[in-house]
Amino acid sequence: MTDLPTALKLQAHLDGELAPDDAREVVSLLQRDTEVRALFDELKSTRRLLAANEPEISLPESREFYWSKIRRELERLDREPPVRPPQAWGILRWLRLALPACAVLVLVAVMLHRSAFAPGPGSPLFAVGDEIETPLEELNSFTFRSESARMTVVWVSDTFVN
Amino acid sequence: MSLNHRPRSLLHGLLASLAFVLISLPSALAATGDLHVQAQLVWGTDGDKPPDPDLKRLDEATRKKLGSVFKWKNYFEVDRQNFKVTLSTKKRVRLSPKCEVEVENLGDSQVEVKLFGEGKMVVKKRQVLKAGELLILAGDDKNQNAWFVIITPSSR
Amino acid sequence: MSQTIQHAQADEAVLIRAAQGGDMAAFEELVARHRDKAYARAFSILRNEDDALDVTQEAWVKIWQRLKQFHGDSSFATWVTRIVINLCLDQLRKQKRLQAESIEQLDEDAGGVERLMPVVTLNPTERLERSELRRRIDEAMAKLSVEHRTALVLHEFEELEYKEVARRMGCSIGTVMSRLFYARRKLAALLAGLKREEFI
Repeated sequence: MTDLPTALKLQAHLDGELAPDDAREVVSLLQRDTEVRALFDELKSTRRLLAANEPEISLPESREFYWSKIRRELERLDREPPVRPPQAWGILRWLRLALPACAVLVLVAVMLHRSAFAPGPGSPLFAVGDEIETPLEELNSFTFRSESARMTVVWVSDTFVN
Repeated sequence: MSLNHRPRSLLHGLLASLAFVLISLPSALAATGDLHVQAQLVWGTDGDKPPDPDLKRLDEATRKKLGSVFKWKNYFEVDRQNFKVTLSTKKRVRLSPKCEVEVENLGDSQVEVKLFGEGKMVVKKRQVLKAGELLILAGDDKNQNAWFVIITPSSR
Repeated sequence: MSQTIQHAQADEAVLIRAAQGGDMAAFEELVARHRDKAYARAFSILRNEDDALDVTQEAWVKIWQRLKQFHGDSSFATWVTRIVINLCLDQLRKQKRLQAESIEQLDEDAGGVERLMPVVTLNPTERLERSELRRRIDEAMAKLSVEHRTALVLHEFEELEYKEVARRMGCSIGTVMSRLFYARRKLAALLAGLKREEFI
């Protein structure tokens, strides 16, 4: 049975995502191992089949009906008064222009701004669900709120704690 | 005791009380900016027993709240820390060998919470945290389980 | 009426420019031309008609709001599809954590079960009507987990590289490779008529 790392290399080779040295190794393996060759051929067939036969799915609503919902929403948004950003954000924009375009410096600007202006609980800078950061590249997070349980949850994916 | 002493002892008593109030008032005022926090590390699972027999079941009130939102059948408390965070300071506590949480008291019930996994910051969240509110940082664990770090304001 | 006829025959670049200038009739024509593809992409990921309809409608609203940001770096169709995909992935993230994930799926992600599957030879000469083949592929894709199907759709149909798939799905490249591998193998088994029980 082909081990997983080899199988994934075969796949990467098929998808053109393998480095040249690894690709040469895979080509050599394909020439001498029939089991590996069979797996590669299966992956290749599946790939070719999908490329030529993407399922055709039609929108199940008429043009007029579908558009009417979109138009209604656009008209509703058009009727809403424009949201004027609070002065705090205006200052923040000025700070971003004045300082070098660097994420760390922008963060410092936010922190400095916060201490200088001390917006109250109603300020959008401190709204529930605001100001969330997941600095690790392989992580993702989203926030949701349960009013009945009086609970705010930040769910982080692809991480472990214990 | 003569009648003349009574008014003087009353005055002394009043002065002593006033002194007490004056001494304790600054610390009481300072104490109103302090935040008392409870941080719990909880493990959610559909299994009936945790692998570690030392883990105890989560208290019923919190279990009910989690159960109203999440799908797991059972919740076990791994660790709990109660601590105080004075105004404009941070406090970092360890909840497990790989998990630390830091709470910064920003004033007006606002906190910034950072979660660290193996020393690396995993997530940072700013939140208004009033009595009765829960802030939960959570994620998947192995084998369909989940972990939860629950931050709540606590009474002293 | 004459304006509608004009839009129906207009070149896409002309329609886009008009829509960017606030011409909603031009935008409606763009929606009509691209709605099926956008919906198909959403449905291929979400596998739910109502969700796909909601997501695509939300996408069109966002597209109208961001039209001025479209500068022709990619085709309009590609730009639309990318927005639809992002909204689908947002939707999945909102739903995913509150739904059961089977042990099998986690096992599969870890690279366990798919290694046990026999190698399948898809018969290229089998005479299937194109529509019948597409229907079978669609049925097979519906049987994949959401993570595997999404990886497959983004790589095979959207032709995104591993790195881009990983970025959009919020996972590592290794996870993408593993999910893609499993998805392809399971699809091959399903298309060849094998049932799961036969190889567990």
